[in-house]
Amino acid sequence: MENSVDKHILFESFSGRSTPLRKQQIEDWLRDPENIERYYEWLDEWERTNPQFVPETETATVLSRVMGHEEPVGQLTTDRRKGRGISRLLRSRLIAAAIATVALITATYALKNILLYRSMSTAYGETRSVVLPDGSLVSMNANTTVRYSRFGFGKTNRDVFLSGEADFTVTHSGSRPFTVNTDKDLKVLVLGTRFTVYARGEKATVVLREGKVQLQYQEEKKEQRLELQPGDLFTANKDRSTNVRHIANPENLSAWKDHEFLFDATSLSELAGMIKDNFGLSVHFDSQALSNRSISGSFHADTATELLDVIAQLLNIHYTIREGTVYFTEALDEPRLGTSGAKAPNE
Amino acid sequence: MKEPKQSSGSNPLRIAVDKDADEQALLMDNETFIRIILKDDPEKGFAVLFKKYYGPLCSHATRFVYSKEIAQDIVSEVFLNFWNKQLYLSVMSTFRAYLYTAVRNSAYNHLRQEFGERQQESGDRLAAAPELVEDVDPQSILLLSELMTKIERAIESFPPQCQKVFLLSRYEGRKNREIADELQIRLKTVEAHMMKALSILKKTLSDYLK
Repeated sequence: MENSVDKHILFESFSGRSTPLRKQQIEDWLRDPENIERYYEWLDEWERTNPQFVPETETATVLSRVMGHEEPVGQLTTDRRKGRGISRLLRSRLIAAAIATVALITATYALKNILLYRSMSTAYGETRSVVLPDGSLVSMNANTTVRYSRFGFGKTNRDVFLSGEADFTVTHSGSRPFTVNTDKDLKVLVLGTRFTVYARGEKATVVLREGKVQLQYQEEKKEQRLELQPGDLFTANKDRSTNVRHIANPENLSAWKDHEFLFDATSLSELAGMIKDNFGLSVHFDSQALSNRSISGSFHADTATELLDVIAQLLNIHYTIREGTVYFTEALDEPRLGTSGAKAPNE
Repeated sequence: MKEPKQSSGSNPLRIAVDKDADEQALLMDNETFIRIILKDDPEKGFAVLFKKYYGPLCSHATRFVYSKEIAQDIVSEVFLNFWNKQLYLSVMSTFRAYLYTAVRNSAYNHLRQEFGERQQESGDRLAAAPELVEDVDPQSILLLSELMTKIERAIESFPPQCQKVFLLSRYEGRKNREIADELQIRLKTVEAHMMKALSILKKTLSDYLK
């Protein structure tokens, strides 16, 4: 964590979008010779994905020109003749290599999905940010899986498969669109922007903070296309109905990236859904009235119990956790329990 | 760079870098692979290395010198030097790091000769390519990356017509006469645009080319 410079930071700095602080950070990071190698590795990758200029001449032609320049051909062939003694050994090595290649291809075919895709998952209560090979940043909320092709991502495609919830900061890359696929018949096409996609259970939502995205989804068995403007919140429900509304602070919906929880007159029953998504805990209320109470404000919580403690204190209620279920009770009913509740067994 | 400036402060993400072990192994293997061929059959290994890096290196050099031709010359020279001095035997860093460093230094030296204070000898442009990454100091690496951005910004700041003339002349390597004909302007105007462009560039670069 301390002074971690990643591909995203470097790509931004190569493109001239870097603050003096970042520059200092990169400079410190470069003091480690290993990171210098890393730096050139990423510089090379950046140069390949954003070429300023592609030489038209066939490299082979240039190569022979370069070699032909000062190096007489004769000298090279004698060099090669000297190495003839090892050629038989080399040949058997080549055969072995060929066999290995065939074996590898067969294995590749058999294990196609595992080999072709890289997938990353977060556990309950864990959030994580990952830089994709094209320099885009994905922040995954808890209980989320993101998959992308191991080879060619950023070069031939920029397709990401999502189940759960994640926030994307996509780097701009010419004509190659970035696509987020979900298993909800919903696709998000991007050209460089920041947005959050939620796709779990029966609901899918997309919030756009910056830039422009196009959605492709199924409604009434027809493919629909829709362009979102910054601040738009798109929701697809389980009955396949959809709606778009404009919200004032789209960044609030990705506050989880920093373990911030933002509530705006959020009812406890709504909160229950969120606790289930993020911490894998079911929620039970001992009365309907309790589930209708609501809270507002922003809280920092790294764990389920931290969040539950805050809620319990705020509303002056109690909670206990037993076998993966949170039980909320009114304070007066069970005076035996302390306000802070029992400690979660899974913490 | 038409995108709006993003303030990186608004996105205070904590980033856990995904140290991708197998991906790294693949990359290392690529280098090792080329090293092995170079040992067994230098000519062939050199060809593999050349084919892999020639394009990206030319592209990179262009960012500094803004001329296709000069960029290709610089890269070819770096490769030629690498071959003639058999540097593949002595370069201890990855070839990638070596080649990028050499091309950048060479491009930088070229700019110095062209825009600098005229004290430089027009000697060996490749003098300053180290064979060990440990010998490079971070500041000079960053300075070069910064220079690359500075140049781009400067060229973006040219008035439109001036920019067009500059790119046709320098980047495409066209003659002033041809440019005048194509843009239907006077030859004198083309020359004036070039003068202006080069003086802006020289001013921008003066801090970097000491």
